[in-house]
Amino acid sequence: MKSNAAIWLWRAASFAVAASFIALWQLIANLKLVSPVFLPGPDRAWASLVRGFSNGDLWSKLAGTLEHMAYGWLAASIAGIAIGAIIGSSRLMRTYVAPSLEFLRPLPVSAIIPVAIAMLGLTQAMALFVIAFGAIWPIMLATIHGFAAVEPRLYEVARSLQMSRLTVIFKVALPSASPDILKRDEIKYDSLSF
Amino acid sequence: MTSDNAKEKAKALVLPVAVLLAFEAWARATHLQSDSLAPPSEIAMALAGAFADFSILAATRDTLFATFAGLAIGTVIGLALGIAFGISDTLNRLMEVTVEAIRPIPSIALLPIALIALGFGYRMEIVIVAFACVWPILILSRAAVRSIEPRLMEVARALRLPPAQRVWKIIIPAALPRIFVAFRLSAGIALIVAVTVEIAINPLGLGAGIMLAQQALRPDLMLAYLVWIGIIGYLLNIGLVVAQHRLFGRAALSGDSA
Amino acid sequence: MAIAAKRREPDVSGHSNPQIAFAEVTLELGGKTIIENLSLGVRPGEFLCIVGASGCGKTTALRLAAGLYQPTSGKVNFDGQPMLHPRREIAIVFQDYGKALLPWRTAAGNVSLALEAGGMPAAERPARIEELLRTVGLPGHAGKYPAEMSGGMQQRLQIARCLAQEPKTLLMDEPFGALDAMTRQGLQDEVLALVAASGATVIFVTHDLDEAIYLGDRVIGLLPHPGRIGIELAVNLPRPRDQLSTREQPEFLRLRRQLFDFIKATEQ
Repeated sequence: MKSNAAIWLWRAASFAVAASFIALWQLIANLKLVSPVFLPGPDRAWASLVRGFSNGDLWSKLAGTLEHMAYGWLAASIAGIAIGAIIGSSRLMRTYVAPSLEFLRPLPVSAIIPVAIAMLGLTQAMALFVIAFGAIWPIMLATIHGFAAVEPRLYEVARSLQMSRLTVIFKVALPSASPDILKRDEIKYDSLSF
Repeated sequence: MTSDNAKEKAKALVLPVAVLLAFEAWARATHLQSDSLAPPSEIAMALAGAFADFSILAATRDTLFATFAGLAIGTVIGLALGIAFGISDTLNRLMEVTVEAIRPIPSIALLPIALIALGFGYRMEIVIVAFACVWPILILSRAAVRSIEPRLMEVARALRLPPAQRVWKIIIPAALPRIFVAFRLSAGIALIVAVTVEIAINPLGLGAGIMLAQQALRPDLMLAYLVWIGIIGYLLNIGLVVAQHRLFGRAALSGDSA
Repeated sequence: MAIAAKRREPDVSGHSNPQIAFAEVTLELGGKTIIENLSLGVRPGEFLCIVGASGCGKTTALRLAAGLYQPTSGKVNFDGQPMLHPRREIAIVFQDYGKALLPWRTAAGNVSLALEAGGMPAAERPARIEELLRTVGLPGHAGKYPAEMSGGMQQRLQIARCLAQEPKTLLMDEPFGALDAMTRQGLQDEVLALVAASGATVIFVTHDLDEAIYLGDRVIGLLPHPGRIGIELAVNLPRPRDQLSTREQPEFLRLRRQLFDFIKATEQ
């Protein structure tokens, strides 16, 4: 049980260590141990960063990337949960579809890029397609898993209540599966962060 | 039991086969002329052709070389750091900010710097792949070391094992099963990153092959490369899963406290 | 297996140098006082048994003697020197033998670990391993993995590894607790034989009162919360001990009664 003071002390020490690495970087740059063309010092990097933000350039690029991320993630979430729900809630579909998904899972997602370029050209749509395609896998697989893990007793209750397919999905399966789906949303960034 | 197995396998193939046949039929019926799609039969022929003139084999060799080299370097570094951080709580705490600051950097973002520093070719790709592999191995092997059966660590203390022997004879064997899982994960990441670097800029390997086919407006060859990349990824994963079962099948060989 | 008749008599002179000495030892863990002001001395060659109800700190006392814990106050000395860390002359046999053996090494490999730690050259090891395995009754099992061995065999293997350290002191933490009665009795006699042959000092923790009296020269009972000495009995039963005749002796029964009453009182 570490006290708050101890935690902050460690954090400060950790920052100090990180700062010492930056200082080392500056030293290497100053001594020109590596050509400044390849390794500019942190002072120049920082100056560029400041410049880039102050003339608006980096802001617009940052906004662009964030936009891509947001739209791509949104599309992937909706599609992933929808498709995942359909596949996951039906044992029949799971048996026939899941093996193919297992095969496609380790496929390098970036390999779809040339195909996307061929289909959509070098456009925004292509970028969004690739991003969404990459993001959809973890969400869809987590959804399928979440739906597959729904207590079968609940499905039986739904059947005896004569609930329609859609109602079952929204009122029984989705709430039951949501912890799985949301949890995977978080670590989605981890597994794709290369 | 084997007939059940065969039935399972047959069911797994139903969907893909059906999709391929439907696609083929549709492509024939509409006399498909496209820059981005080609009927499966043409894809198969393009793949066969690429094999016949060894072009795809050379590309595979290049990609796999970069993949494995980067994986090896990243594993060694990640393992060394992960074990060190797992053993020494102090070291781990001190390095926390540095690690958490560098870790989220997408390895592809290093591409421009690597390109300036190292130029086109293997070295640049290997460096980026290695960077991508270090982090999962570090994080997971650190966790593996921390979850070693505490009794084994006490035995090491009671026997007064010198630190080097402690790492080599107790910590690494005990954590090895989980470390291997981390290695498997990283192998997949290594392949993805290698292909991505090739697609982005590097003029070698399977990624370059697929880009060239796309630029030459040969969708059949492009999709053939795509299929082949998928097969390579699948085989790599399966190979490591089999290795894992062979090496660590007996759960009793794990020194995990879980 | 013949039980050696000759045994070094425990030194009863009051001024003897204890091999292990606790001086006013207090240990606090997680805000609780596990042991308070515990003082005791274990003479060289003595077989000391510690009993007590669950949670009285007997395992903790053993781990203090092993150097795995450091006292909050007071001192633990070995041969007159303070125990700052574990020492090779002290070997500890854990109760959960499954977790204390390396599952990826064979029986020979496990014993070898202690020899490697001691710096024995590789060429000399196989002979010594063979000898040790024979001593604990596991001849020919050198190539087996712990998972392939029964509980009794695994515990013997752990004992073999401890003997490989050539310890002056053997610490045993309820070593036979997880075994069936027949195996337990066999191992009790084996431990007596091993200890008699080597002259090692033993601290043996157990919740089995009969076992404590059968094995020990002296039995200490701890009171719980916090742990401190509640009763101390000298066991003047003749050696070598015998499972049947020793347990029938009036002295054995008298000691048994005393300990039993003590434990009963502490559990209230």
